Order: sequence, then structure tokens, then C-alpha cells
Amino acid sequence: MSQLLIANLCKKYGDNVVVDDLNLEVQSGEMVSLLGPSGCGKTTTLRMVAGLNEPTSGSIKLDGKELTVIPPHKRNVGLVFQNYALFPHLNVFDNVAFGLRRRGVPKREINKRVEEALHSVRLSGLESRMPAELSGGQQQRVALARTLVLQPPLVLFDEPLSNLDAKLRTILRVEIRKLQQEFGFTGIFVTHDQEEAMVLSDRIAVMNKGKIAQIGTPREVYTTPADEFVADFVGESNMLAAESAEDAGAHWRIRLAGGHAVMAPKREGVSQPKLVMIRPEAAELSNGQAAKEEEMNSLEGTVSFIQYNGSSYAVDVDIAGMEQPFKVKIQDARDELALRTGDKVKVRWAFRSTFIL
Amino acid sequence: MKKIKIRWLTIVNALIYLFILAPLAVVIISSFHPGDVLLFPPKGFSWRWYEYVLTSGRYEEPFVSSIKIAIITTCVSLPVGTIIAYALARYDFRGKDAMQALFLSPLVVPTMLLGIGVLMMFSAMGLKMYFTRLVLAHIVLTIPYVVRTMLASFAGVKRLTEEAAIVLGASPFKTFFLVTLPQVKSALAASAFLSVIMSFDELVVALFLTGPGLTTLPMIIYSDTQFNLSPSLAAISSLTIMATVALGLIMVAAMRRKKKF
Repeated sequence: MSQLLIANLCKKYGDNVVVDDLNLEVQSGEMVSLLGPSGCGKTTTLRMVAGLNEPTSGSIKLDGKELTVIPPHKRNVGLVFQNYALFPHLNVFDNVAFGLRRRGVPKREINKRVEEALHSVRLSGLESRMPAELSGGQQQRVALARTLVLQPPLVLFDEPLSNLDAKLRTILRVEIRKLQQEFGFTGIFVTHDQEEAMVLSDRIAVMNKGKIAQIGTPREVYTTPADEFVADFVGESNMLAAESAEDAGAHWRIRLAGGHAVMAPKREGVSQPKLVMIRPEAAELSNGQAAKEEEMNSLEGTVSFIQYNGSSYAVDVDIAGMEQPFKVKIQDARDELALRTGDKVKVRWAFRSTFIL
Repeated sequence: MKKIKIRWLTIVNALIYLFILAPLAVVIISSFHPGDVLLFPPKGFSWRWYEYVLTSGRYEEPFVSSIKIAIITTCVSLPVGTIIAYALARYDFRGKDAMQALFLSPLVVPTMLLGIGVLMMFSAMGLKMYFTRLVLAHIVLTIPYVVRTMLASFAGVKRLTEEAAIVLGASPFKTFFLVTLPQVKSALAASAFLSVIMSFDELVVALFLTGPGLTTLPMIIYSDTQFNLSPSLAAISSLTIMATVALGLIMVAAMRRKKKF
């Protein structure tokens, strides 16, 4: 349970700036995700906290103590790797006991703590197995136990679920979240999977080109993205370029390509809207004349592609004058969709679901 | 079509094996010749020359010397070569490429030249201890083989497992012994084996560097081929072959057992 403070952290390889003046504060017992595309500097940041990479400049403080001057093996920071990184020559018990032995913990206590750790990741009884005899999910659980058994104040996760199949990923991310709440450690979770970040974290830091583009709760990041990059990277979105905007009281009346116009609520910090963002699930489709409703935007188009995803439909609608098709997600897929490719439809969404950037 | 191809390959394979193994077979078979002069095929069968080799005392001292030299050589070349290989595998430093080229081309310098060079150097230095200088030369000869074998093996050790150990609290030094080395056990055994065999078998440098009072087994075998061409030569060679094969088999068996993980 500790507070982590990263200030002005930089990492350069020659002229290549990987982490660019990064500042981040993680509260005690908080889980923060570093979310971003590959090459955004998230893993490098994590490795610098662990001490495996040396920062070019900047400071990393854990509970007020400067970490950058402590050698990695004395930092007492947990790290769970993407490729598990279990010791192939040691069995499960010895893998989990490794850190305890380095700390000179008495044998009896080692036995007890290893047993508890394996129990908490639901691997009791597999003590004498070798890593190669375990499935990927089991291996990652051993890696978790190996880290948690030391009760580190800070645990770093470097895309620990990326090598697992989709189903196991969803199970393990919930387990990790529960373990975090049970053990109460402070956590940093690096991932490029936005869903994982949403489920796992108290706050998400979206990273781009070595900087934090936005930090906030999953809800904040999703509903009020700070810029185009965040809006595009977190969740699916329709981005429409604004050609001009005129003041209409509480709203902007925004002209789009192709002569279309939409209404969007004003919002602090945006004096001249450049982009309009609508999430696919905020829009709906109607063919023919729908009842006229207040406060709804509407665009006419042609269905160009339909995907059935089991629980939902994803429909692409081509709109005259716009380069990208408008994506609409139909959440209720209990009845078969009455639309076919080529059908004329109206895309409608509420004014308040129109987010300006 | 396919069948014929496979059969043809089998024949080629058999010929290659024959080419490699026939000389050994010839030596072993002719060692049973009862007469005084080495002959193939032998006329008759006898253990006479084996008895001679084991009881005459002529080969005992050279054998012990060779074994001693081989073991001491390996005790130095194995750790030194392993450390060099680890440095080459893990770190970037100035002159790394040149160093790698040097250690990966052990056969570029003819042993003849090495022998002359080392002899001149030791003479200039006044180093007259035959045993010591031969061991030193053998260390130089065997290190490249250790480096070569270990380098390939270190490449297979995931850097991440070492990083995991460090983050878990093991110093880099402990990490090397607790995590890195155990993962290259079989390569260590193979390197030791290679080094022992290379040294035990080495003749040219030994001829240059030894002197009165020190004879190695290859030297006495070589001198026998020139001055004493009796089946005892074949018998001692056969024993050496057997010992090598036995050592090799033990190693393979040990590695099989460890491959379990």
C-alpha cells in the first residue's frame, strides 16, 4: 500500500524519445492502467519503475523514497511479465519460493506462505509440477503467486494477459482485480486492450508518443475523451469533421461535409468545435418516417455492411459526402435485424450524445 | 519416385557412416592380432597386446599425464570460456564483434603455428616447466570450443527469466548462478566434454612444448607409429576409443534425464 509519484520522467535512445516528460501520481491501493498502442512508451515506463531500464532523467518516488537510485533487486517492487518468465528449471513451489529465499525467510514460513499464495491463485496441489507441464493460464497464475507471495507494496503488470486466449483473459483479469482488492497493493497495469483497462483499473492513463494524453476514471476517458487520439483509441467512435459551427444558444449548430448539419451541446474548453464524435451504441437506425422527436440528430444513408456479433449487430451506413461509413451498434439482437445491405435508413442520435472536440 | 529418393539417401548415409567408422573398426579389429607387427586383417585372435598395454607400464605415465593436463585445462577453460560467452551473449561493448570473431574461429590458426609461437614466447619468458606451459597452451586451444558451445546455449536462455529473478530480489551475481547457469547445464557438460577430449587428443602443441620427463599419450602413440609398429598401438587406441565412447554415452544419458523439464 503505497503511493507512487513519477515526475518529469524521460527515456531517450539517441534522438528517439520513448518517454517524454511523463508525470503520474498513483494513490495508495489504487490500480492505474497505462493504455496505449505499441511503441507509446508504456512498457518502458513500467520497466523504469522496476529498475530494468534506467531513465534518462526524472524521478520515481515510492512513499517519498527515490527509487531510481536503488538497484532493481532491492526495490521490492513486483513485476508480472507478458511471457510469464517462470524459471524453467524450477518446479512451481521453487518458483514461488524464489523471492522468499532471497530474503532469507525461514523454511517453515516459506512453506506456509507459498501454500497460501498458491491457494489464492487456485493452484494448490501443483507444487511439484514443472512450468512446461502447465497451461498458459496456469503459468501466469504461478507468476502472479511468485510476485504476490512477497507482498510487495507496488505490483507492475506488463501486458500479463496478452498471450492467453480470449476466454481466459476475461477470467484472469477479474481474478487480478479481485487479488488486487484482497491484497491491497498499489498496481500499474500496462495494456493495449482498452476493455482490459476498463475492467481492471480505478483510473486509466492513455498514452501516446511517450506522453500521457489523458488520465481519468474509465468512465471519464470513455465519455469525455481529451482529444482525437483518446476518442479514437478508447472504444469505437464516429468522427466527423466540422466545417463550420454557429452558436445556437445551449448548442452548436455544426455543418459537416456533404451539406449535413447536426446539433451538439456546448462544453467548457471548446471554443470552436473541430470534430464531432458519436459512439456507435449511442445511435439508432430507423427506416421510413420515424415519429418526430425533439433533440435528435438525424442523417440519411444506405446500409453498406452488417456484422452479427451474437449479442449485438454492427451496421455500417454510407452517408452522402462522407468518407467513412457511420458505425451503428444495435445492442438488442434478440430479433433478427430487418435490414439488408442497400436499404435506405436514417441514423439518429440524441443531441446530448454528440461530443465535440 | 519418392521411395527411390529415400533409398538413395539411405545409401549415401550408410556410406558416410562407413567412411567415419571404418578406420575405428580397422584399429579395433587389428588390435587382436597375436603377431609382433601391426596387420590388417589380423591372423588369429589374442588379448596379448591388451595385456601388454595394461601391465608393461609403458603407457601408464603418459596416460596419467594426459588425463591430468586435460582436467586442469578444462577446469580453467570451462569457467573462463563460459564467462566470455555470457559477456558476448548479453552485453554490448567496444570490440565485441572482433572478440566474437576471434573466439568463434578456433580453427583459423593452425596448431602448428600456435605451437611454434607459444614455444618461442615461453622460451623468451624463461618458462621451462613443461607441464605448466602445455596446460596454458591447451587452455588457449580449448577456450574457443567452450565459448562457441556456451554462446549458442546462452542465446536460448530468456533474458526475461533473469530479469524476473532480479526483480524478485536476486542480485545479478546470484541470478547468474541460480537462474542462468541451471538453464545451460547440458551445454556446460558438453563444453567440458569437448575441452577434455580436445586436450587429451592434442599432439602438435604437445610435441613443441614438452621435454624430457613429460610425455602425453598422443605423443607415445605417435612415436610408436614411427618406431614401434606393433599391435600394442592398436590396443591402446582401442582402449581410448572405448573410454571416449563410454564417456559420451554417460553424458547423453545424463542430458536425457535433465531434458525432462
